[in-house]
Amino acid sequence: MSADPAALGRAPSRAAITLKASRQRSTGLGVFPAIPRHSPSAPGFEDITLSPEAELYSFTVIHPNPRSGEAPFVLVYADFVENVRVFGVLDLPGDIAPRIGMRLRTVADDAEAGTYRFELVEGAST
Amino acid sequence: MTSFGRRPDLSMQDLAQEAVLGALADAGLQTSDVQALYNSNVYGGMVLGQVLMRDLGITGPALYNVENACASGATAVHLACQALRLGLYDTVVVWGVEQLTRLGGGTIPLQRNDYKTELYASQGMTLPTVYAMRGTRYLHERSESVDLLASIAVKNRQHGSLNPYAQQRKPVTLEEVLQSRPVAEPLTLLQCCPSAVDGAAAVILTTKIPSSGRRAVRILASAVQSGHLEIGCDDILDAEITARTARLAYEQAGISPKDVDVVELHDAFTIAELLYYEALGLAPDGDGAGLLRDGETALGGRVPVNPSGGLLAKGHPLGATGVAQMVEIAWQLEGRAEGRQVEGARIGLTQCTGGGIAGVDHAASSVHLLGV
Repeated sequence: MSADPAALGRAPSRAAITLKASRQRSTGLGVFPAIPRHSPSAPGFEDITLSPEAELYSFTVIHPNPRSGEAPFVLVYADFVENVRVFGVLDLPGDIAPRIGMRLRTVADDAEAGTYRFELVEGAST
Repeated sequence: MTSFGRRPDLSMQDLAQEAVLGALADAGLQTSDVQALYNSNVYGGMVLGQVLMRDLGITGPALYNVENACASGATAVHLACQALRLGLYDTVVVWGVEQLTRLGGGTIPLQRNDYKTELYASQGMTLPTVYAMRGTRYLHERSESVDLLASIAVKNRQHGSLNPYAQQRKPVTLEEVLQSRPVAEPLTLLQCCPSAVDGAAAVILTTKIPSSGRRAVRILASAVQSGHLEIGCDDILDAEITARTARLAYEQAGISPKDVDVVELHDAFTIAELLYYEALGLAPDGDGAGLLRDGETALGGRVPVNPSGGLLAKGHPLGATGVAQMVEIAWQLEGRAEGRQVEGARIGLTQCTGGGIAGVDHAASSVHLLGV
């Protein structure tokens, strides 16, 4: 992994949130995002709330085409103890590179849109 | 088939008609011999097949438009096989066509047709993202370096340099692959299949004895499967749908992976080829890297993989890819793959697995076994 950490993401500064997901009744396994309540599939699932923290399962650093002028950013799969995997953007302090096993927390991105991002848990080993 | 490449001067009609007429001529058949038509395409729109064949005058017979992401072409062949086995027809044409340059290049866009795809696409999910995540996890779990991934690109682009139908025909070194522009770490540009590519491929399938005098290439097995709901925290290195589809194909043909002489597989990104070595049974679980390192999947090796250059060199016009794999394997089995011939090949395998997004363990996988 060769990305320049200084180019990755923003400093943590956002409010912690928890995500809503669904648990399949027949298997006990979880899925994110939650199955819509109006869906004909809904009876097969129950609503769950994910823990505030998760573990980084895998990641990539996306390098947009240089013509776009956009900076590189980190995308991750984050595994929650509720047996749910969530995909999303990870914001890291400029001097830290992503690493499998990192402890992450979920934070609000756009409160109105209900979107989320991930940040490194403060004090977690890097 | 047409050569694959940037063909802005041609329409999709031009590409499809060139491929279909070429296949008919190769088989010594006339358009009037065709009893049904199967068109494979992803981005072309409604009733595309009828539009493509209209001016050729191949109108009237049943025409089926097939879409199944990257596995569209292979799925079209699968459906044609079913109809032939049922005796509905005795001679059909299957073609695939795509004109991705019309999309403007760059990453192939996702179809935002459900709530999960919409959410994840807004978070930055793309097809390279999915494979890059696998690449990162693979290197982590197996204590490998990025050199391993880059070696796939070196091998397949070397093969592609021998194929006049390939879009990219320049051999590359390991250093060139690693130093090419990073796209989605650990994948660099030369580890991703070209996405600005146009092309078409066609095959004639028949239950009649061919009159051409060449060895008849038989379809020994044809399998298609769909992906399971991605739920819980499963192993992203387990190419389950591909392994499941391959098992079905081997069972149908009554052969084992050891019987396969040549393979065209879905190397949209370098990591995919490594995972599919194991899913297809070419290597024991955990030993895909060894197969590559030992040179067994290069031309001259025990089971050459992607002698055409694969998607990495040939390009990946989605709807055409699965059919183009069949064309390459047919040429290999007939001894017609000039410059890249796998000597003595008698059984070949094609594999397409596509739609790796939106909450299923890939949407579709298809495996075919061909033999002489």
